[in-house]
Amino acid sequence: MSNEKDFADQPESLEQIEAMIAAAKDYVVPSDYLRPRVLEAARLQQSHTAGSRRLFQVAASVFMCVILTIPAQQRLEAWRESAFSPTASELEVEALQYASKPSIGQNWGLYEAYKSLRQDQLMKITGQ
Amino acid sequence: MRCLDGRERFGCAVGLYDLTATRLVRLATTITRNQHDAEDAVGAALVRVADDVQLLLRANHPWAYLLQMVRNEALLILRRKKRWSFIDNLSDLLTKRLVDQLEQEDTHRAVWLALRNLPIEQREVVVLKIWEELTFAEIGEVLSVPAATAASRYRYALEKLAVQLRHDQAIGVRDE
Repeated sequence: MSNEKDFADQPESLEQIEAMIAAAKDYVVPSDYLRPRVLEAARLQQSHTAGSRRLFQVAASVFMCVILTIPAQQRLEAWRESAFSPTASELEVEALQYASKPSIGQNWGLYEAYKSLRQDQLMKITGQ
Repeated sequence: MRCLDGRERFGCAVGLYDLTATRLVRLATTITRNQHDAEDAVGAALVRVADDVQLLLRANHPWAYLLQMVRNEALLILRRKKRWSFIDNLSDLLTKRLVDQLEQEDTHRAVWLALRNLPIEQREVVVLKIWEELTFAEIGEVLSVPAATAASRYRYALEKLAVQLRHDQAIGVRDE
């Protein structure tokens, strides 16, 4: 009789098994230190990601500056050459280059430099 | 879609943890058969989500997607660690014992032990079906299997669990 009663408590149907499993749902709980550990890791990861993103933005900005600056500088250089005559020191350097050739003195070097400058200016004016 | 700033994203992480941690740890513990590893898996998944909240916002079914993330992390840890697992005991588990449920503790322990003895693909289906109350279609989505496969795994698992739990209870009754 006692055995009959005891075995009546055993799970008979699959519904009972399901109910038993469902009841054991909240038996296991996360440890107390999991929450601070996860949140701290999330905070660190977020600051790491933000740092990486900032670094990437800076690198991209520098890259864009370089990309845009190089052609702009080349255009500026070309414009400067066409718009302005050489400075006295640049002319002097050119004169010295002429003078370094054999049979050309310093005075003739300066003369040749001026002659070349005047030809360049003439070509710019006439557009040839 | 507006980007969240650091503080808002941290707020999301806190809210997400409080809403989901217990359920995710439960699933991961069933997969890894070790609560420490399970908590590592949950931590890794939640940190990834906190770092990129759009992961969940872009998903069609965010909860299924989060379960899938935790499952993947748990499987990764399981493969990487190959540690000795606590199949025959529950010494790794942190349990909640309510005073009015003390007499049910043996049953709960029997259920957890029986679950640990199932193959992994059956364990996770049982957890998702009974504890997470997902449909077989949703379970199929989480596990990347057809719904029919999920259903048959569930049926086999329940049959095994029934045998195991009846056996455990019969032993318990005899011992008493």
